[in-house]
Amino acid sequence: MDQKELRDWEAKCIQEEPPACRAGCPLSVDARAFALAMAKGDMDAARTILEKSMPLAAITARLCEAPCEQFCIRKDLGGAINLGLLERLCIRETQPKGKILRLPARPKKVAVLGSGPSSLAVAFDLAKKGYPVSVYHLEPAPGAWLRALPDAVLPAEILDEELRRLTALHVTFTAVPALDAALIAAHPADAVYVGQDDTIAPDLLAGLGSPDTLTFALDRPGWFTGGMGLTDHPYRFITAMSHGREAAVSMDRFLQGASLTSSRVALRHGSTALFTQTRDIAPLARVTPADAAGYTRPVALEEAGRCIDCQCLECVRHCVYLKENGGYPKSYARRVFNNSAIVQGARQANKFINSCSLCGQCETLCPNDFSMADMCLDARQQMVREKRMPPSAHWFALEEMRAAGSDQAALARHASGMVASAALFFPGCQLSGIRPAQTLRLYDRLLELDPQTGIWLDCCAAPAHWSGRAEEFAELAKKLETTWTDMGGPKVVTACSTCLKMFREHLPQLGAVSVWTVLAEEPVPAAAAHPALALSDPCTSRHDERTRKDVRTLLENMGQALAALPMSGELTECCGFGGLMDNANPALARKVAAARVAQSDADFLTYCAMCRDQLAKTGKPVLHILDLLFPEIAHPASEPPASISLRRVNRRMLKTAVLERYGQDGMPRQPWEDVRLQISESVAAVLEERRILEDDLRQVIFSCKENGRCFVHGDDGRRIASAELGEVTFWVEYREERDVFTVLKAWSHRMRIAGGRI
Amino acid sequence: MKTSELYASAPVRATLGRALRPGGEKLTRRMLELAGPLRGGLALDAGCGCGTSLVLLEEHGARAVGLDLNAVFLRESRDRKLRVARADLAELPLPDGCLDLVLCECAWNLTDKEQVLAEFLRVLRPGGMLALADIYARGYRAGEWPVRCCFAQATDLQTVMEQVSGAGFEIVVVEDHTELLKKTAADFVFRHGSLFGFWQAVTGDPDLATAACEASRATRPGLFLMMAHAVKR
Amino acid sequence: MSLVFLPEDMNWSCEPCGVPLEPGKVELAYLGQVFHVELPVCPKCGAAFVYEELAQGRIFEVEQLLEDK
Repeated sequence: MDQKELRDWEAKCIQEEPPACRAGCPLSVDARAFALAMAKGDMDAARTILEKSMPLAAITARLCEAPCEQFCIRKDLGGAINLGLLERLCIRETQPKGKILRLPARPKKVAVLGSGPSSLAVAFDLAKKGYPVSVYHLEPAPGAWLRALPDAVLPAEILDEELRRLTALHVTFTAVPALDAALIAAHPADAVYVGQDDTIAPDLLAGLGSPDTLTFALDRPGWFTGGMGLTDHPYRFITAMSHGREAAVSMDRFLQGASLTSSRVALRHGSTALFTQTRDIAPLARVTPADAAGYTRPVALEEAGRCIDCQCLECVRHCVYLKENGGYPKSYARRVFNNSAIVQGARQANKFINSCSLCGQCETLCPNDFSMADMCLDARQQMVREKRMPPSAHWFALEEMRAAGSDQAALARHASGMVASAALFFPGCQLSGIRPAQTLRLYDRLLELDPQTGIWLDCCAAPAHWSGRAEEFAELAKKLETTWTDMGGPKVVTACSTCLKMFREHLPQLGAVSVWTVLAEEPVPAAAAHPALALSDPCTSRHDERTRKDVRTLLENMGQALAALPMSGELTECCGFGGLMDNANPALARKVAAARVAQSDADFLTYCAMCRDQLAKTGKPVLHILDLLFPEIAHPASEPPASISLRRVNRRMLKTAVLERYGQDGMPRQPWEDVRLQISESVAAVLEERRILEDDLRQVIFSCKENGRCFVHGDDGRRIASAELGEVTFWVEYREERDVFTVLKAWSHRMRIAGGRI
Repeated sequence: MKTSELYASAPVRATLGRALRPGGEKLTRRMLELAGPLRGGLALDAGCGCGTSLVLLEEHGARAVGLDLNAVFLRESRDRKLRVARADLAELPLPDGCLDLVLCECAWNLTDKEQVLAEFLRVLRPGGMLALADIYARGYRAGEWPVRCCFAQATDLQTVMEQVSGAGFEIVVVEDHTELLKKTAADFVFRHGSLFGFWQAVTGDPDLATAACEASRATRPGLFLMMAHAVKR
Repeated sequence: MSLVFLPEDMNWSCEPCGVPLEPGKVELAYLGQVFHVELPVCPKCGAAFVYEELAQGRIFEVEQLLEDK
């Protein structure tokens, strides 16, 4: 990922966009954080938030007319949060926080004419930056129209206290009879601000002209003005403050010789791209204060408690993976970028990148279609290209894919007795591995519908794609295409949504359709009575409306009732298998599955073999649609998932069973297949967890018998054998008794013993 | 929070030996190779430890001096008759523009980084070379490191580059040598059983060890070297 | 700088050679990094014993570290 790609990704995620209130504040006060602090009763924290953005907070918080309230999302859900009155309470009840830090003094002089709010804002902002500011005000005292306000609104001592703070920032106040041209001629400065929210002499006003609307700069270099035309303005005070602030920004840039406009962020006036889901937010009426004095603490808490806390986080709310990592897509994009630092040598692998299930839910939920899947898959492909993908990340899944595509398990045949196929049934490697008998039965059903249906056992190569191995995937796709062409290029019928998605996206010429679509067109016997089941669509069916609909038609025709499952259809959730999540991050996959099954009390139903077994790992009863279609060979819903060893054996068995239909012998058994193992339940659990296949152990023991190499225990005759099988070295400790090998322990490692022998 | 300095602690010295830094001599030699011939120029090893690099600098043709804050290490270097002194890198006891090369290996992250860069710029002659090697953060981590060590202030590489060029240097080369760091970590793991075991040996406290373990996993430390010219403003 | 790794139960012999295993120098390698350790080894044929605790413990951690997972 390069800088530009990072910017593009970041731009899509709106989580850091300001909430409507902040976007509507001319001073960009973090009103959301303020309201949340008030809701917690933490008024000191609330004051700190105000002081962070407000010039002369003690005055501003008392007088601000709260334009933010026009934009508050609550306004249509019971009434905008009463931020104005909340500010008044906060400022009354707290003390100013901390010292105002002044930057080291700068040599440029600033003259401010007038002492209305806009002038005071200029003085405050520039004084903080270290400029010596001279404020010229009319007699008797600075403050302009603020001084005329009733004490209940702005007490005189507060105004004077804030003016004293300005003096502490080295602002000088000079009383003058008139704010006119002669004044400025007598007191030249490097930058001048004319505050028109005070009384400016006509001769000076006449010569000013109009300021630029963005920068408040006048034609005359170094001159700025603001505060004009506000006397009857509904947001008189805060707009004046805003003019002053914007002018101060311009004046600072001017005094430093920098451009007034480059990289300058314009006022938002309420505009923001932040999206907040309000569908499930109940309206809550505004809590009004008891009297004109304003809120009391407890009432204020209640009012502030109505704040929605506008966030987007749509994707994070629904995704265990995104929640787990404590961020959101924009921050994740930066994380992925940092991990691909542009430096000689290392771009490192990252569990984070490999843990995404690539399911696409976030993209569907995001108002801007941010796709973690696209980002993570890109990153994986880059890691593979640069040889930085940790070899063990996807090793097991890739081995499974290769085994499913090998001679031992793969085949493509026309129907027995036929020399051509109108359709070719592709059950997929997982269904074959988990439910071989049901797979055959499904094939038989298709044969009933069309006797010219061939059968094609193989893997669609999704693991190669998901692991970022684009080259390997392309090669496998080519092989699949060749097989298909050799079979006459018939329509391919898949039983797995992942295979279907892979074929549609990468081998569209196969014209793949879902077997459920084929079956939905035909009559189907009523299913055995099951109470309503929660139907979990596999994540790869997310954009396949047709198949999802056909599955439901099929179930309806079978008379199977469905229980509600909120995140369904286009919003469905991955079971943890997708994107090889279970391979790269089994702990996360467990959490994901657990969160999914918790979404309904009903038993689950799915039409994907991986979903069935992944969800069943949680202990929840899960049925596969084939259990309903073929009740005589149904598996119990509470059956635990098929072990990894069983899946390998099943695929071989399935191929043998198919070949038998053609009067052919099954594949010749490999010599090590006949090694007889005895494995207790506890040892089997260890093998499963360590991803060690019984086949691996057979091969190790077989090689040990062949070459005679093993270790023997001095006392009890236990033996230890090991063998390097591909990237991994397997070890097994066992007892041998009359041709039966009782496995006691098994372990593996990838590290090689260089130069030695095992 | 216990503040024990990582590099002075017993388990680290046992594994790293005299070199006191991941990559050891390999990294130093690589930097000297990139620096080119020094022809009697004056070189400073900023954070010289026991003086191992001073020897290499002299071999490479420079007149080498070393500065460090740690009295124990300095004593060892003096015992080896090397020219060293005790000083804070943020206030170098050296005149402006007097050095041809500043070598700083795995010491920068322990200091007031911006101030030290300013000092380096000051004491180098225009065009003089800064050879900087240290830990950087490849991952993401918010929060405090419980053990005061070079990992604590490590930033991502982009930030390092911005700081160095911002200080007035022209960056010539940046290289990643994370493999050397990984080798050190792997050696630690073999010796101490696990990263947790290593941290426990260093901190003497299992809670601190857990926090440090997690912190290092999240920060994902890398090792960089950077060669830069001093450019006078 | 050799690290010695021996299982608690050293009572194992190399079957073809008929001699008990003894601590011996071995090189372990992964992803271009080499580590010099001592493991139980057959003094005659050099076969080394990577026992379970070592494989599932230190070796696994080092593999993960080097892989940058």
